[in-house]
Amino acid sequence: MKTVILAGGKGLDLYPLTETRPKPMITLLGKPILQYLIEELRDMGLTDIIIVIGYKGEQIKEYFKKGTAFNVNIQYADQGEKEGIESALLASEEFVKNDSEFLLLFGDIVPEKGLMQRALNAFENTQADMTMTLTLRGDTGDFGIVEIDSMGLVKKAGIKKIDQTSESKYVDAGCFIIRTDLFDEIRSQQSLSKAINARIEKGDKVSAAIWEKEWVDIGKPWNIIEANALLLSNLKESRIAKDVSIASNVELKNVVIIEENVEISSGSVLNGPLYIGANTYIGNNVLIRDHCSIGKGALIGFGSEIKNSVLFNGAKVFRLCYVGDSVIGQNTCISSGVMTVITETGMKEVSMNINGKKINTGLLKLGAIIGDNCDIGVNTLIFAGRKIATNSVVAPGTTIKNDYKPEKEVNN
Amino acid sequence: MCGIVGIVQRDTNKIGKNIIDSLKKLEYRGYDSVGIATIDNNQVIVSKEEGKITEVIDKIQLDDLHGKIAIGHTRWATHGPPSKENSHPHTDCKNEIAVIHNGIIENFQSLKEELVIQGHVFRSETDTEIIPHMIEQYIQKDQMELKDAIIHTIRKIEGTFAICVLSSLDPDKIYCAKRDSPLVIGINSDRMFCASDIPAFLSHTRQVVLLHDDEFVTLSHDGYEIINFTNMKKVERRPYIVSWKPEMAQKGGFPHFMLKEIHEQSSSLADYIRIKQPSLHKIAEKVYDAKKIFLLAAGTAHYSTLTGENLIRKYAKKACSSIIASEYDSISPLIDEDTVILPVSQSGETMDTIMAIKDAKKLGAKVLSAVNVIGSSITRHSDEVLYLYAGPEIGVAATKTYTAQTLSMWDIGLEIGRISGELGNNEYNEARKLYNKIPTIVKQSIVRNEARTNRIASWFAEKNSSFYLGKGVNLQTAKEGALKMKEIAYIHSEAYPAGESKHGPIALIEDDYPVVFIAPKDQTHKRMIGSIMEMKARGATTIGVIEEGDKDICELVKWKMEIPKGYSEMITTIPYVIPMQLLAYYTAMKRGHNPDFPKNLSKSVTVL
Repeated sequence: MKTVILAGGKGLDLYPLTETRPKPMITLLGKPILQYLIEELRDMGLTDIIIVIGYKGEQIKEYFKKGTAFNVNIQYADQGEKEGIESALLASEEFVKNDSEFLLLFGDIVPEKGLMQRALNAFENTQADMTMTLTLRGDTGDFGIVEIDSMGLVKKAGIKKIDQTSESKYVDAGCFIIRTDLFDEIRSQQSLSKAINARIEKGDKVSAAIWEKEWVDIGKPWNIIEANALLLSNLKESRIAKDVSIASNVELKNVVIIEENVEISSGSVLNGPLYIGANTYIGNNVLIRDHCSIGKGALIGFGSEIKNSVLFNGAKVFRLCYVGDSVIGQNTCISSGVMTVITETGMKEVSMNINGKKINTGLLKLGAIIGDNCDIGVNTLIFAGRKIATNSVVAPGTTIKNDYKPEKEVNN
Repeated sequence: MCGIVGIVQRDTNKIGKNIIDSLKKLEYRGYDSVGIATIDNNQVIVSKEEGKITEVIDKIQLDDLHGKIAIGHTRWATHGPPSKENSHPHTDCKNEIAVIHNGIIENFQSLKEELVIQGHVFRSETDTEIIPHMIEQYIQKDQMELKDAIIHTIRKIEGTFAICVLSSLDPDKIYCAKRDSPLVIGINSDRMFCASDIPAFLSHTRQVVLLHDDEFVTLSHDGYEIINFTNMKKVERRPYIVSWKPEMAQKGGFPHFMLKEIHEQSSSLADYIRIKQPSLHKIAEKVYDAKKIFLLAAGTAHYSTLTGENLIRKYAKKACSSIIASEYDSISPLIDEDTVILPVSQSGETMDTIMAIKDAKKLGAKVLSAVNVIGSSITRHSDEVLYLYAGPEIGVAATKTYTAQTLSMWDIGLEIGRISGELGNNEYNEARKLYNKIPTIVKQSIVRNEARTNRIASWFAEKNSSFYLGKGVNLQTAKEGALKMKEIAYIHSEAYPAGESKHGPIALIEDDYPVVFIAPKDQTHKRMIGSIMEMKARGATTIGVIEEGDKDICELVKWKMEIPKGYSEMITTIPYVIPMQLLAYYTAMKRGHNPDFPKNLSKSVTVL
């Protein structure tokens, strides 16, 4: 069976991190999230993979090439400027149309291992026409809600929360087995869920494969922190590369992965599970705790504390900073004394602006989301859930109460 | 308890795989070892190993076996611990006769001693192994035919059994027989099955012949012959068609049978309500006419009988007690002709219950049962039977059969209320209307609480111990909830009447100790609030199963599970247990346990 992975979306909700990369190239524990999916497919023997690219697709092509390095065979379909799942699917049609069915996978999900195998098993065991994986969400948000019957068959897919016609808490988990003759319906209905529903009405059997394990959809910036925690908590063994320099009184707890050429200076406490990429320097008396992933060539200066955060490659946090529940973009510099605030006053859940709308994240603690190539000045204070755009330069001593965008370039 | 299956087919294709497929469907009956016997080149080939089916397949290639005939067994140890030697099939000294057995042979020690004196060599500690050796003995010493030798052997056995025999002496027939243990026959155009339970062959055929006690069957690929082995008379019995769909025995897209069966409850309860059973009125009348009434059950079914006990007291105005089947001896002196015994069981094979009703019948009591499995042992010892129509339940932890049992108690209770006049015409009609809505409210309870319980489970999974408190009819809900948490999540959980918790259990409360309250908005509501405050004051983390929008309790509990409002207290015992099932399931998930195979438990306990 061939696999089609959709990786062409713009990921607007993930701004500013998607200003510079497509969603599937968000890198956690040293690998883009797309790579985790591809490696799992390979381990299942599904090596014929079609990646549908679009927005900044050249980065994906550049990284995965023909798949030889990953022991798979990758072909690329291009959805170009067209948006939406339907255009992406139609772009893949010619690659799979000679088969009877294919595995469809969204490129922005981070599930515990076994999701795709579950879909295949359910497809075979139930001898259904198609299969879709479902997972439970307390808040169904903007996911496609799916209603199932008591035998585990799909009754209706793609229900929106605002419909209020369904109380189901099962949402589609981004992994399907689709019959290739569904393309006609996709063309006429202009929607995957509508096409599936049309088939169900005609009497097709669509089975639900229920995924009771962990699953994160990278839809909103804080999902990156959740996915990072999920990947770290699944680590079973520590690994420290051979040419690493760790001072004698450094304390390492729980599972840690430390790549080559990392230097950790004395007095630091590293509380795993955590990941530190190659060539990173950790200064004296640093505290790293609660699920941190630090990219390649990063730097953490004297006396800083990093908690439950993701630092992309080349991020630098200088001395005496506090970075909590945050994402720091590639090559961004956090100067000395910068503080992220991680709670709202009064134990309220933190809100974030997403595309101009204020959205409750449902989290009691959330720090800052900072884009690539920023320079955050000394003693800057960043309020909870605030975002800083790519290439921003923030003056020393600034208090960031609203999302920060650089001033329009002044024409000299 | 064990699962047995035999297949005789026209061709030699994939017999090992067919047996394995059937055994997988019977794994709920026991899963500590697996074995298969086939005949290849007129030789009996036995392959067996300790472990679950999937583990055993990894070790030995059971799938690859060929032949026209095979028997297979999945064991739950009774005599002798799980081991390769103790696994079935067992064979005679010459390896010509292979036997699988479900049940217990009571006189096996004396029979074994005789056989050892005759020079037979035993390889296992099981009671079963005497059977092939006895058959061999009859053939050798008394020059009997195989069939006669088997019949002579089973006549000598005391105890319970369902056995299947295969032998190179008669290589295209399976012989089987039963007494008190279940055995059914399945008929297909090119193969015949015998098995402990219908799901074993449901994917091949829906034509089933039920066997009665003391019956002996000769099975060939194109027919079956039944005789009664005590009087040797031929028995004519035609097959009937089971209505279960084959996929009902599979878990479909659900990760576990338990979750599937939780979701199935709205439709299984609707099935029960839809099918009007004439036995209902007869049971209600007999209960109303009786002087003494005892409900009899074990495990989860016992909690459902507490609903029955409450309702019979309320509507028949009679002293009535719910007794745990294994404690039957304590009421035995009270049994006489004016007594009604109401056994409730999923499998209809619970040995404690069977022994109790056999005794009660001798003393003159009437036996009126509520059972899920049609044609099971309990139903054959009963004067009237109310079937639960819940379909096969594979998950070892009872879910849909518990709600079906509780619903049947309501059904009987309301009927008694009508007969006794405790429920006036209007009241009765109103109550029935509400009763008919139960499947809907169960569906809503699942949909609204599944995601919530999943979240609560992440926290609960870290705990070692918990309390479940309820009052009135919902004490049983608390007990059932605690049982589920013990059974599959392996978290110590105790249920107490809320008012009783301060007489002892409260001493165990410490910071963040989980206490689950079943607190619907009925007459127990105020007292439950008091109880929640009491526990909260001592640092417990409180979890409430409450009526939707119940502000009083909402503010007091850390976590809540809500049941739709607008339904009177009458039926709370069914919907309020739903979140408890989900909580136990998701807690087991977070702790990494497989809820379909809880350790040390088996689906129905057919030993004493």
